[in-house]
Amino acid sequence: MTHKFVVRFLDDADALVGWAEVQAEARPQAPRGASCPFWPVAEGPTSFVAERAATVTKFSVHWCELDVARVRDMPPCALEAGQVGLFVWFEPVWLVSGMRDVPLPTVTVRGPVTLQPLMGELGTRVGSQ
Amino acid sequence: MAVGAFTFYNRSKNNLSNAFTLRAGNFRMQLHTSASNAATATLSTIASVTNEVTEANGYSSSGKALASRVWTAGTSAGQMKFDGDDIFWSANGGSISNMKFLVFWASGASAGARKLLGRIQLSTAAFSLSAGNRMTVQFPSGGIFTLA
Repeated sequence: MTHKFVVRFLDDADALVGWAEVQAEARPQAPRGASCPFWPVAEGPTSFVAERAATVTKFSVHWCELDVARVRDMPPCALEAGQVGLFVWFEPVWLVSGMRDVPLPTVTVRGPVTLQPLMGELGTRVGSQ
Repeated sequence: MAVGAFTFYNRSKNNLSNAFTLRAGNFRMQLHTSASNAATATLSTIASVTNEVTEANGYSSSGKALASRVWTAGTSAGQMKFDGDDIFWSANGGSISNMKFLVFWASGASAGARKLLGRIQLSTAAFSLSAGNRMTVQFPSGGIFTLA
Protein backbone atom coordinates (compact mmCIF):
# COMPACT_ATOMS: atom_id res chain seq x y z
CA MET A 1 0.00 0.00 0.00
CA THR A 2 1.35 3.38 -0.95
CA HIS A 3 1.05 6.61 0.95
CA LYS A 4 1.78 10.21 0.14
CA PHE A 5 4.97 11.65 1.51
CA VAL A 6 6.26 15.18 1.11
CA VAL A 7 10.00 15.50 0.68
CA ARG A 8 11.40 18.95 1.46
CA PHE A 9 14.85 20.12 0.50
CA LEU A 10 16.26 22.58 3.01
CA ASP A 11 19.21 24.88 3.47
CA ASP A 12 21.37 25.22 6.57
CA ALA A 13 18.78 27.43 8.23
CA ASP A 14 16.06 24.81 7.67
CA ALA A 15 14.38 27.08 5.12
CA LEU A 16 12.65 25.52 2.16
CA VAL A 17 14.46 25.41 -1.17
CA GLY A 18 12.14 23.01 -2.99
CA TRP A 19 9.80 20.14 -2.38
CA ALA A 20 8.27 17.13 -4.06
CA GLU A 21 5.35 14.81 -3.44
CA VAL A 22 6.41 11.17 -3.45
CA GLN A 23 4.26 8.05 -3.42
CA ALA A 24 6.02 5.51 -1.27
CA GLU A 25 5.57 2.40 0.78
CA ALA A 26 6.20 2.21 4.47
CA ARG A 27 7.21 -1.32 5.35
CA PRO A 28 7.06 -2.01 9.07
CA GLN A 29 9.61 -4.60 10.12
CA ALA A 30 8.87 -6.49 13.31
CA PRO A 31 12.43 -6.78 14.62
CA ARG A 32 12.84 -3.00 14.50
CA GLY A 33 9.81 -2.24 16.67
CA ALA A 34 7.71 0.81 15.92
CA SER A 35 9.71 1.95 12.92
CA CYS A 36 9.63 1.45 9.20
CA PRO A 37 11.67 2.38 6.17
CA PHE A 38 10.38 4.73 3.47
CA TRP A 39 10.54 3.17 0.00
CA PRO A 40 9.63 5.38 -2.98
CA VAL A 41 7.45 3.48 -5.45
CA ALA A 42 8.83 5.11 -8.58
CA GLU A 43 12.22 3.98 -9.72
CA GLY A 44 14.79 6.64 -10.38
CA PRO A 45 15.47 9.98 -8.76
CA THR A 46 12.94 12.41 -7.32
CA SER A 47 12.90 15.76 -9.09
CA PHE A 48 12.07 19.10 -7.55
CA VAL A 49 12.24 22.74 -8.61
CA ALA A 50 14.38 25.13 -6.58
CA GLU A 51 12.13 28.00 -5.53
CA ARG A 52 15.15 30.24 -4.87
CA ALA A 53 18.91 30.19 -5.18
CA ALA A 54 20.34 28.32 -2.23
CA THR A 55 22.51 25.43 -1.17
CA VAL A 56 20.57 22.37 -0.14
CA THR A 57 22.16 20.62 2.82
CA LYS A 58 19.26 18.65 4.31
CA PHE A 59 16.10 16.92 3.30
CA SER A 60 13.03 15.89 5.25
CA VAL A 61 10.61 13.05 4.67
CA HIS A 62 7.12 13.82 5.97
CA TRP A 63 4.49 11.07 6.18
CA CYS A 64 1.53 13.40 5.94
CA GLU A 65 -1.24 11.12 7.19
CA LEU A 66 0.59 10.32 10.41
CA ASP A 67 2.42 13.63 10.68
CA VAL A 68 5.68 11.81 11.23
CA ALA A 69 8.83 13.32 9.79
CA ARG A 70 12.56 12.90 9.72
CA VAL A 71 15.24 15.39 8.72
CA ARG A 72 18.55 14.10 7.38
CA ASP A 73 21.73 15.75 6.20
CA MET A 74 22.85 15.37 2.62
CA PRO A 75 25.88 16.46 0.61
CA PRO A 76 25.63 20.21 -0.15
CA CYS A 77 24.15 21.01 -3.54
CA ALA A 78 23.99 24.59 -4.84
CA LEU A 79 20.95 25.42 -6.96
CA GLU A 80 19.71 28.46 -8.83
CA ALA A 81 16.07 29.56 -8.70
CA GLY A 82 14.05 27.54 -11.16
CA GLN A 83 16.70 24.87 -11.53
CA VAL A 84 15.49 21.28 -11.34
CA GLY A 85 17.22 19.18 -8.73
CA LEU A 86 17.41 15.40 -8.94
CA PHE A 87 17.64 13.42 -5.75
CA VAL A 88 18.68 9.78 -5.86
CA TRP A 89 17.35 7.48 -3.15
CA PHE A 90 20.29 5.24 -2.45
CA GLU A 91 19.04 3.98 0.91
CA PRO A 92 15.73 3.95 2.76
CA VAL A 93 14.86 6.60 5.30
CA TRP A 94 13.73 5.17 8.60
CA LEU A 95 10.67 6.68 10.15
CA VAL A 96 10.12 6.02 13.82
CA SER A 97 6.98 6.41 15.86
CA GLY A 98 7.28 9.53 17.98
CA MET A 99 8.87 11.71 15.30
CA ARG A 100 6.01 14.16 15.62
CA ASP A 101 6.02 17.93 15.74
CA VAL A 102 9.19 18.11 13.71
CA PRO A 103 9.43 21.76 12.59
CA LEU A 104 8.99 21.84 8.83
CA PRO A 105 8.75 24.87 6.56
CA THR A 106 5.57 25.64 4.68
CA VAL A 107 5.33 24.28 1.16
CA THR A 108 3.74 26.31 -1.63
CA VAL A 109 1.03 24.63 -3.72
CA ARG A 110 1.38 25.76 -7.33
CA GLY A 111 -1.89 24.45 -8.71
CA PRO A 112 -5.55 24.26 -7.75
CA VAL A 113 -6.18 22.13 -4.69
CA THR A 114 -9.38 20.61 -3.33
CA LEU A 115 -9.45 19.48 0.27
CA GLN A 116 -12.07 16.99 1.42
CA PRO A 117 -12.44 16.96 5.18
CA LEU A 118 -14.12 14.11 6.99
CA MET A 119 -17.56 14.55 8.49
CA GLY A 120 -17.79 15.49 12.15
CA GLU A 121 -20.16 13.97 14.66
CA LEU A 122 -21.89 15.82 17.45
CA GLY A 123 -22.85 12.64 19.23
CA THR A 124 -24.12 9.12 18.79
CA ARG A 125 -27.35 7.39 19.62
CA VAL A 126 -27.56 3.73 20.51
CA GLY A 127 -28.93 1.82 17.57
CA SER A 128 -28.41 4.64 15.09
CA GLN A 129 -27.45 3.72 11.57
CA MET B 1 -1.72 16.93 3.10
CA ALA B 2 -3.94 14.88 5.29
CA VAL B 3 -7.25 16.60 6.00
CA GLY B 4 -8.94 16.02 9.33
CA ALA B 5 -12.58 15.87 10.34
CA PHE B 6 -14.74 18.69 11.61
CA THR B 7 -14.07 18.87 15.35
CA PHE B 8 -16.09 20.71 17.98
CA TYR B 9 -14.70 22.96 20.62
CA ASN B 10 -15.72 21.88 24.11
CA ARG B 11 -17.78 25.00 24.76
CA SER B 12 -19.55 24.89 21.43
CA LYS B 13 -21.73 22.01 22.59
CA ASN B 14 -22.95 24.14 25.45
CA ASN B 15 -23.35 27.16 23.20
CA LEU B 16 -25.75 25.20 21.02
CA SER B 17 -28.34 25.62 23.73
CA ASN B 18 -27.87 29.25 24.62
CA ALA B 19 -25.62 31.22 22.28
CA PHE B 20 -26.57 30.28 18.76
CA THR B 21 -28.76 27.92 16.82
CA LEU B 22 -27.71 25.69 13.99
CA ARG B 23 -30.96 26.28 12.14
CA ALA B 24 -31.00 30.06 12.19
CA GLY B 25 -27.50 31.19 13.07
CA ASN B 26 -25.04 32.80 10.72
CA PHE B 27 -21.62 31.25 10.67
CA ARG B 28 -18.27 32.24 9.25
CA MET B 29 -15.09 30.37 8.46
CA GLN B 30 -11.59 31.75 8.64
CA LEU B 31 -8.11 30.42 8.08
CA HIS B 32 -5.37 30.15 10.66
CA THR B 33 -1.67 29.42 10.44
CA SER B 34 0.45 26.66 11.88
CA ALA B 35 1.37 29.00 14.75
CA SER B 36 -2.28 29.25 15.80
CA ASN B 37 -3.79 27.77 18.94
CA ALA B 38 -6.85 26.74 16.89
CA ALA B 39 -6.51 23.10 17.93
CA THR B 40 -6.98 23.95 21.61
CA ALA B 41 -10.32 22.42 22.55
CA THR B 42 -11.07 24.83 25.39
CA LEU B 43 -11.25 28.01 23.35
CA SER B 44 -14.54 29.88 23.46
CA THR B 45 -14.70 32.85 21.09
CA ILE B 46 -13.06 33.63 17.78
CA ALA B 47 -11.15 36.45 19.46
CA SER B 48 -9.26 33.86 21.49
CA VAL B 49 -7.97 32.05 18.40
CA THR B 50 -4.54 33.35 17.49
CA ASN B 51 -2.72 33.79 14.21
CA GLU B 52 -5.31 34.20 11.52
CA VAL B 53 -3.83 34.03 8.04
CA THR B 54 -2.52 37.43 6.98
CA GLU B 55 -5.02 39.51 5.05
CA ALA B 56 -3.54 39.77 1.56
CA ASN B 57 -3.65 38.38 -1.94
CA GLY B 58 -7.24 37.21 -1.90
CA TYR B 59 -7.70 36.46 1.79
CA SER B 60 -9.68 38.90 3.91
CA SER B 61 -9.63 38.84 7.68
CA SER B 62 -12.64 37.20 9.30
CA GLY B 63 -12.85 34.86 6.35
CA LYS B 64 -16.07 34.10 4.56
CA ALA B 65 -19.65 33.36 5.49
CA LEU B 66 -20.95 29.82 5.36
CA ALA B 67 -23.48 30.08 2.54
CA SER B 68 -26.63 27.99 2.21
CA ARG B 69 -26.34 26.79 5.78
CA VAL B 70 -28.85 24.07 6.61
CA TRP B 71 -29.74 22.04 9.67
CA THR B 72 -31.89 19.33 8.27
CA ALA B 73 -32.57 15.61 8.16
CA GLY B 74 -29.52 13.52 7.40
CA THR B 75 -29.02 10.27 5.58
CA SER B 76 -30.74 8.03 8.10
CA ALA B 77 -33.82 8.16 10.26
CA GLY B 78 -33.21 10.23 13.32
CA GLN B 79 -30.05 11.84 12.03
CA MET B 80 -29.65 15.58 11.56
CA LYS B 81 -26.92 17.18 9.55
CA PHE B 82 -25.32 20.60 9.47
CA ASP B 83 -24.19 21.59 6.02
CA GLY B 84 -23.39 24.48 3.73
CA ASP B 85 -21.79 25.35 0.44
CA ASP B 86 -18.20 24.40 -0.22
CA ILE B 87 -15.83 27.30 0.23
CA PHE B 88 -12.79 28.47 -1.66
CA TRP B 89 -10.10 31.10 -1.65
CA SER B 90 -8.22 32.22 -4.74
CA ALA B 91 -4.73 33.67 -4.47
CA ASN B 92 -4.44 36.87 -6.48
CA GLY B 93 -1.31 38.97 -6.87
CA GLY B 94 0.70 36.83 -4.49
CA SER B 95 0.47 33.82 -2.24
CA ILE B 96 -1.97 33.16 0.55
CA SER B 97 0.52 32.00 3.11
CA ASN B 98 0.69 29.43 5.86
CA MET B 99 -2.75 27.83 5.97
CA LYS B 100 -3.41 25.00 8.39
CA PHE B 101 -6.78 25.40 10.15
CA LEU B 102 -10.28 26.33 9.07
CA VAL B 103 -12.21 27.68 12.05
CA PHE B 104 -16.01 27.98 12.17
CA TRP B 105 -17.62 30.61 14.37
CA ALA B 106 -20.99 32.24 14.90
CA SER B 107 -21.46 35.80 13.75
CA GLY B 108 -22.35 38.20 16.53
CA ALA B 109 -22.59 41.90 17.22
CA SER B 110 -19.96 41.83 19.95
CA ALA B 111 -16.70 39.97 20.34
CA GLY B 112 -18.18 37.97 23.22
CA ALA B 113 -21.04 36.82 21.02
CA ARG B 114 -18.77 35.43 18.34
CA LYS B 115 -18.69 31.91 19.71
CA LEU B 116 -16.66 29.12 18.22
CA LEU B 117 -18.38 26.18 16.60
CA GLY B 118 -15.52 23.96 15.46
CA ARG B 119 -12.45 23.58 13.30
CA ILE B 120 -10.95 21.46 10.57
CA GLN B 121 -7.23 20.82 10.29
CA LEU B 122 -6.65 21.24 6.57
CA SER B 123 -3.22 19.69 6.56
CA THR B 124 -0.76 18.13 8.96
CA ALA B 125 1.77 20.74 7.86
CA ALA B 126 0.95 24.27 6.79
CA PHE B 127 0.92 25.18 3.13
CA SER B 128 0.73 28.28 0.97
CA LEU B 129 -1.21 28.80 -2.23
CA SER B 130 0.61 30.52 -5.07
CA ALA B 131 -0.93 33.31 -7.14
CA GLY B 132 -3.46 32.27 -9.73
CA ASN B 133 -4.62 29.17 -7.91
CA ARG B 134 -7.67 28.22 -5.90
CA MET B 135 -7.94 26.25 -2.69
CA THR B 136 -11.36 24.64 -2.27
CA VAL B 137 -12.70 22.97 0.85
CA GLN B 138 -15.26 20.44 -0.32
CA PHE B 139 -17.47 19.40 2.56
CA PRO B 140 -18.70 15.80 2.77
CA SER B 141 -21.92 15.03 0.94
CA GLY B 142 -23.40 13.81 4.21
CA GLY B 143 -22.86 17.18 5.87
CA ILE B 144 -20.15 19.08 7.70
CA PHE B 145 -21.24 17.26 10.85
CA THR B 146 -24.15 15.17 12.01
CA LEU B 147 -26.14 14.52 15.15
CA ALA B 148 -27.13 10.87 15.18
